[in-house]
Amino acid sequence: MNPSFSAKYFDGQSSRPHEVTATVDGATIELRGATLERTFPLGEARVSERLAHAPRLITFTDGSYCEVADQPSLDAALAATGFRDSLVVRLQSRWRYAVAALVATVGVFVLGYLYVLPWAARLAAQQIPPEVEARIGQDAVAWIEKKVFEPTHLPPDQRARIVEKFAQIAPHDAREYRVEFRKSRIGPNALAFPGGLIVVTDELVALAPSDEAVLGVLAHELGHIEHRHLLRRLITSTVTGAVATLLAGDASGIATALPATLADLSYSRGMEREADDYAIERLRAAGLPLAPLADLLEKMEAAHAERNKAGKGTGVGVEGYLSTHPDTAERVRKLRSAAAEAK
Amino acid sequence: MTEQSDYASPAALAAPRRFQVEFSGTGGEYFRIWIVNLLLTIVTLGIYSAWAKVRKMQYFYRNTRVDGAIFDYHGRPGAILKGRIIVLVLAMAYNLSFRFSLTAGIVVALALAVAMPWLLAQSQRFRLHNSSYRGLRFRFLGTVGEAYMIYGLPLLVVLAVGVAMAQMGLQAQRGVEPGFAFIASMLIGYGVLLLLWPYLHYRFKRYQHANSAFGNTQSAFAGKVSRFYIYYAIALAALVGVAVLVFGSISMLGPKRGYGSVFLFGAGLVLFYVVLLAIGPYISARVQNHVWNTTRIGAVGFESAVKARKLVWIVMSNLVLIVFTLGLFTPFAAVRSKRYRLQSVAVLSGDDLANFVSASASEVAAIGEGAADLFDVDFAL
Repeated sequence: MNPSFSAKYFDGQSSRPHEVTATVDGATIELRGATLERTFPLGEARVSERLAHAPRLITFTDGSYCEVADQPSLDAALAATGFRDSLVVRLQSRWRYAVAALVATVGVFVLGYLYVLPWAARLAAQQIPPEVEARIGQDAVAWIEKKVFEPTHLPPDQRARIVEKFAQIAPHDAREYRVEFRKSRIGPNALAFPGGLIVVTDELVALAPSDEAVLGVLAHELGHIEHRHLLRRLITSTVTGAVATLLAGDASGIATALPATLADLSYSRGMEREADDYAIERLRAAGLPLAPLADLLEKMEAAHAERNKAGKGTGVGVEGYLSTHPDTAERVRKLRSAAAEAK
Repeated sequence: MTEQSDYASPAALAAPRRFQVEFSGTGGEYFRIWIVNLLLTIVTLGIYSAWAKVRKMQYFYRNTRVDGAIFDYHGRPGAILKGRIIVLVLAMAYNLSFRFSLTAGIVVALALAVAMPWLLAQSQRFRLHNSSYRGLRFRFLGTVGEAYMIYGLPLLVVLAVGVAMAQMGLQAQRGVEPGFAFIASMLIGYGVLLLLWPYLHYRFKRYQHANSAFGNTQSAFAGKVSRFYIYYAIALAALVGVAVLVFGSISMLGPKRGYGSVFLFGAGLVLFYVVLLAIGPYISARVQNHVWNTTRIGAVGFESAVKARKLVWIVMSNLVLIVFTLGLFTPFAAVRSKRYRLQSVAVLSGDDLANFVSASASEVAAIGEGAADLFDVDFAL
């Protein structure tokens, strides 16, 4: 016996339903009802995807279709024709696949966030032409200048000395490397801007036991510029922000601000390490000692702890030299062992 | 456009039959579709989102039933993908252009303003053209010209304000303080937009509901703009009222600073936000009722009885649950609010809805739906 099922047939010309019995017979499907009788080639009929509580639709090439509420009979008929649900429909049909999809989704997010995004950001940052990089740097400086900086109070000869020594470690490439000094309310700090500008605060120079220590910090900041860390962070925070907005939709607010902030913190650590490695290499090449930088790091850590205790955060959205450095002890250890190796 | 004067209320129909809209979707089933959609969209870097939209639309359409027959969605993923790529490119052009120069930004913004009404008309056309019930397609007959009439003015205001703000940003970088005339003109711009908003909302609803067709039968709309102003006025009054109440009582307490006043301040702030969040669903409930109660398709009328209080509760509790489940409640929330909105509507008809016929080929050609194949692009996101 050929499999059959009851259905409502709509001819696509009027909204009048026709109660029919559909029978699958070899390569055709026959519809028989009180008001009409039609035969369609089975190969040209399309059946809609399975839904738990909705009828399925069998659509024919002329746009007419059957609404089938009797799912078990339809299933039997479909099975007889060798029809199989698509992969997506099978994934959607069971809770265990849904849970697997959920786990996979979370996994993709975590992996993408930890590995793919940093990799892509590095790649993308490398494509940014020097003029654009310089321009982004200028914008960032202009933005931050008014917020935290005041003219420097350092004696001109001290500044000249540092600038002169800086020329020894600055690389020669398309960027225009410069050091500038500012008094600021963010304490001992140094900021590297895309395009080559490094701003050192008076407080940092005052805290540094020697010019070598300041040069150590400058070498580290050069590492940030060379590796395009700020650009990479700009890219990653833009992407995480966009993804969070897409996901959260209307329920934004806190939900969107949070991931972007977390992104900034966790990327910084890897980048600090990269910048330290760069600094070690640069200082060694210039024959400068590493120990002063390690000493200064410890002093800065102490100074910042003091400031935080006093309740004075930096109050700025841009991370400074120390605000994102939770692993100072580890970094100092690395510098000291590199210094010992050199001897 | 002329006002429909031949409008008769559904109750005036001769012995109307009543078909309550039924919705059979469940949160659990839609969750499984949603999570698979999400995963595939991510791993295909967004490309699958077009297929995801089709599955989502089909889920909601096919689970919606009137008089035992379901709706269906026919949008093709290719057309949706095409539209999404175009919108993405436009959005990126808009965001990046201001970084190059103010002129580039204004040029792109103007081009967008010119394109936007066309895009919105097209998305309306795509959605209706790809919706069907009982084998007959819906159609959208609204002209692009009318879309320009509706969106032209607000777009110009938004653009003017946007350009002004970009200009101000550039000046601020150079250390120039914005002039008084500048700020005044921006405030006036916003003020005009605020005053016009209920009218624009009405015009948009009229554009949709007066220009739709089911088969060869065109819809008629008799909604009143005054109702829109009333809804918005009530919402605004509630917001201002709660603000005055909360901040007034706080300032009455005066300089006494204790845990009590801090608590009161917090509670007042929460109350203010609750009212702010309630405005959306309140207006949406009132507008749905008014718009559907005054819409006719031939001899068929509608009766929408969404309770604003209930919809506010659904939307707000959804929001809380979405936040606490880190988004996993989203599909359940979508089904929940859709079910309430749909099941609050009934179709009223003198007969059994079986007498509609499809538009003839010449009618379809006359409104340029042949071109719909050429421009088969979905711009709705």
